[in-house]
Amino acid sequence: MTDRPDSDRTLTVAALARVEGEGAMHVVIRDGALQQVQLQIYEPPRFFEAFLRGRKFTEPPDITARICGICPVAYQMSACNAIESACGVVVDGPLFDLRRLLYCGEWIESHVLHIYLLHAPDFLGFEGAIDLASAHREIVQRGLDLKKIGNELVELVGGRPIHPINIRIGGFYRVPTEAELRAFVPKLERARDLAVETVRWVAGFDFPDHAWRGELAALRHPGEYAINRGRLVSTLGLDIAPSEFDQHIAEEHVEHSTALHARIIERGEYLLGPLARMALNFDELTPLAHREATAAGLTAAERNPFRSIVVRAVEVLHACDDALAIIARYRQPDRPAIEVEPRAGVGYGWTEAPRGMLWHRYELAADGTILAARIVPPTSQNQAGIEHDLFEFVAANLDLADDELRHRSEQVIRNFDPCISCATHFLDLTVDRT
Amino acid sequence: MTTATALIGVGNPWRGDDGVGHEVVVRAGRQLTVDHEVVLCNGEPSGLLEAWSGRDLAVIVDATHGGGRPGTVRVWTDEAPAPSPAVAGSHALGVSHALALADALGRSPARLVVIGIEADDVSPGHGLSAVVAAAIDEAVALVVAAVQAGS
Repeated sequence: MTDRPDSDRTLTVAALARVEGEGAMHVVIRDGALQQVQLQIYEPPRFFEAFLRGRKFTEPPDITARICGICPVAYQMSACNAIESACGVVVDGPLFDLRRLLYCGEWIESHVLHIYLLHAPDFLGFEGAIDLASAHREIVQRGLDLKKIGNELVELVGGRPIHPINIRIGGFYRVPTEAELRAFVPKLERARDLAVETVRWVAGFDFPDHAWRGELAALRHPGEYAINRGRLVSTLGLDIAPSEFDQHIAEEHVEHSTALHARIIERGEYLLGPLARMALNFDELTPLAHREATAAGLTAAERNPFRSIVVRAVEVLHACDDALAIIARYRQPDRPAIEVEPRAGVGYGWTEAPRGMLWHRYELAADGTILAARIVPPTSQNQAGIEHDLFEFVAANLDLADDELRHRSEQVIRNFDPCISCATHFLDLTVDRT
Repeated sequence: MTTATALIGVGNPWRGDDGVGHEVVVRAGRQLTVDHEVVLCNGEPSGLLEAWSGRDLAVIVDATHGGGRPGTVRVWTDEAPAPSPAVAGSHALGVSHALALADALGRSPARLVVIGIEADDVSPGHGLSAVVAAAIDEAVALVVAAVQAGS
């Protein structure tokens, strides 16, 4: 709806497409000045936390995987890390590597979905993936081929491509043989080639001039582009363990959202995800990914959220490379899982979901019954940052016509690949301008 | 080699009535004697494309939203339902968009039947509402009939 007398105007978009899930964005402009930007989330996000209370400590990997069909592995891995920490167990060696291999598959499928079907149409002047596919069938097919290999990797290690069933506290129910993994190498090598093509393709897009000026945070662990272990570090000096999350990051209710806003207590909103990982782990990319990232113009200083599509493509390439390295050194372990005995206590765990750090906390009784659970997904942590970034973008582009401003605002939101279905439902965009 | 017939249940069983598609194809699969494959999807478009590419017949069952009284069963044969909001789901690209994408890529199934069951409640939680559960038998019969008509 557009109602635009010369001095007053209200602009409403019924639905914001091409984000994972649904919510609402409300922009208020008064007397030509931007007054407010709100990302509104309606759905109570804590359903799963309540659902977990009273369950056995072995159940969260399967239950929390159902929070999201796009990033179930992230939920499973963070749950495992947290519960194993409560039980005093560290999973390492080939079992740790297999978890990372599984996670590589999820990064590939999640990132490629966003790059090809959700984000690329913004830069090429298409309404969406269907129009892009009509004009460039071979390009979209390349994306689907690449995503399929990611799906197959998740299926190979996780048992099935969506909501993997092979993950348990302490490891897996069954581990693949060396021959099974080696047989997958040709597919991963093809995926790596397709990923290189993808980086070069998206690097050629035109990107609006825009920069995130706030704090970026991501896991970091020596010697690896951190995915499933590490400390949370930031561009402004944060450096904490998962048990210190609450001491440094506060979640607070805001009136317009049922998801909690997260802020670094000392400073304010922050952003997680690909741009943050690239800023804090650029030196840990594989040599090929590092080379292609550099050729694409990326550095650790990259701050333009529009260029996150390039970062995602580089991360897909890194994940392919990393997966190949894991398979090359894989030796089938004697047993598929470490035995984990429950004990009374509190455990914390986090991993890098495709959209950023996902934090879990569990309080266990001595018999392993879950007394309390907390899950803080990356999109809810990013919510305040997305609002802030959109505020800055809209404030700098108030001269745009309503339709153009609305369209660009949608693009700004898509830059962050918000998986709102992890935290909410239904996304509408409203610009209220008088 | 790809099985000629696919029964594709779309939805999320942890979102109440959004799980009806899974329930219907699983039950229909138990009744069929002809060769077929049951595929359970969450509605993610590339997964749907994979599920029906190269099939002679794809029967898709999904919850719908905005199409009459809860529990109403509707059938589309060799056509895609109108785009959102006709087909419910927790992700922005649903069955309709995935079918359009398949058309653009030349990856549509040779024959297509879409069966929609109007949802009542898709809020978080397991289990179907009574009115949607009561529609399952009708939907299963339609799936079975669609497969038998083509075999």
